Amino acid sequence: MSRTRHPVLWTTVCGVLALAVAAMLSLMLGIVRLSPADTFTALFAPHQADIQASTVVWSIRLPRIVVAALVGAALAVVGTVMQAILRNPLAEPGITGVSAGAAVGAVAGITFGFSGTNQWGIPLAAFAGAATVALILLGVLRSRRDLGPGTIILVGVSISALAGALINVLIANAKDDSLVRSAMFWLAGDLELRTWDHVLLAVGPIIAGLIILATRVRSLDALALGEQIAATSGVNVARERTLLLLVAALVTGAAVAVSGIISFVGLVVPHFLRLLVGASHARLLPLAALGGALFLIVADTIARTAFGAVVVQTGVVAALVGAPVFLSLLLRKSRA
Amino acid sequence: MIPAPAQLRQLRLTEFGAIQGSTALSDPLTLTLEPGTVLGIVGPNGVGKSSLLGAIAHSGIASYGSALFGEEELSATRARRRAQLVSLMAQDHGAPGELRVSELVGVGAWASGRADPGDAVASALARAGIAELQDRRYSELSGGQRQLVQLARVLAQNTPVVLLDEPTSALDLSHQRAVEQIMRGLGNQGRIVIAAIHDLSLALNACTRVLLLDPGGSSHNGAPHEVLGPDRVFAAYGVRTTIHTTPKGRRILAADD
Repeated sequence: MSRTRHPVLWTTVCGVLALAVAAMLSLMLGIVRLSPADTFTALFAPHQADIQASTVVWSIRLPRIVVAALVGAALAVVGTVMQAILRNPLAEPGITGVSAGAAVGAVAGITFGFSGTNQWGIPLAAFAGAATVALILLGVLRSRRDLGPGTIILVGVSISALAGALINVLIANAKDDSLVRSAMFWLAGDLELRTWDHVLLAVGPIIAGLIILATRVRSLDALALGEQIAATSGVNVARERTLLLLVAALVTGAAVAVSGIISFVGLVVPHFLRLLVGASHARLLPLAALGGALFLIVADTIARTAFGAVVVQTGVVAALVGAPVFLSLLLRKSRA
Repeated sequence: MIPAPAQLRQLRLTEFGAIQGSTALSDPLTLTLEPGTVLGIVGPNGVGKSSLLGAIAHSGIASYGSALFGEEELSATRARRRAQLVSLMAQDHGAPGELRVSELVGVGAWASGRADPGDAVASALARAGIAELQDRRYSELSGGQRQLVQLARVLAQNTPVVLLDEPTSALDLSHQRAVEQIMRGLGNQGRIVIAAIHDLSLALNACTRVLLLDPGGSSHNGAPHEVLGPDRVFAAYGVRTTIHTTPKGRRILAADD
């Protein structure tokens, strides 16, 4: 057992340290560069710091980092959960159609012009879209209690296709081109101009959802072995799967509502961690929260600092960095 | 050896069978199994052996009729409780490739509700003869090793009723014998073992009773050498067979030509 516990402790310690370092670097870097000392002062004693530094840290960068951490943690944990209950390595948070539902809400909000009136408008519209899909999903799961993972995935594919069609209708009928641009921007996922309001909106559902998911690690282990084994290992499969999918949908909805659609975090971080520490969910879930937060903070910092005047969104960097890293990892694994 | 659980009772099936929608997957079966029975379920492909096991285990396959363990109706028992009465080794041996063997077997230990899951895992691995695999990842194992790991998971669950779906299908000769001994050992402890088996010689040697499911609708159960006599085997499989006995008393069922 000592051989298996070791990498977990190691990974956790490294993860926490890396998270702290990444957050610190992210606070320092940007158009206004701050020295480590200035950053510390601004962070822990904002009254003694100069007004520009404390504004940059507290009003611009910190909320953005916190949103990145929340969204990254949420997506990575939900991705892990989805891959376990659907027994599919390609499962990711949006596979049930929740992200697509959020996108319909957001694009509707944008093209109808809510974004000008209220900054809660778009996130709330997105969350409403996600919640609608979650309710549809709940209805489907309750009416047919014997649905297998394959069918659930197909249900998600259908919902996503429907949502995609609605988004196309909305975009085609947008009143002017700048709205179309805003909608496309949202769809690629970005953390520009995130405020404490966004944190406030997302923190409740995400933290509550992650705590609920953290109590289900044993059922997740059993469900990953298949429905039959789970059912004979003390898991009420239909009820447990409904609960997990619903919580996962709401957590994803809350995350997507404040970030737009950021792909890849929820797909890659779970795989990466499984290669590192094994597939036991008692280990995976906390590390996924840590790893997802770290991944997205880094991706977002790169997005807003590395490309100068070229606009590159957080979601784009997540895929740009994530895809090659993941690919090389997979190839190395399959050679071993 | 893992000590036998305290509750050793009869398993009584009454007009029991597997069902999907409104289609019965197996014919109604009435059968009482005493503690210590090792029942082999045999029959041609597609006759409903796995469905019947799944229905008894309530593993997501719906059932009709009644399955009573002692006084407890298994279909009305909560999943958590049922997992302490009935365990199932299914034919689906899929698991995340990164899962370690000890973690997979730990699912059985967790289901048993025992206070010392670590010990349960260790003794189950030892009983299945795969203690050296405990830190290996599932993706590194061969098909036969995976089957033994799934068997160990069931052993760790430590239930009075043990259901095994083709427990030796991927195993070499020595491991087939080891599993046969484990099946007999579970029966000797007073557990009820029900195994779906294709290898009729294994059924003859490992089981105290055999249930032959005949696609014609008539099923027979009784002593292995009676149920697996030439006429019934021919009726079910359409193959002429004879039971031979080796000099040391082991029975072998083989086709005549």
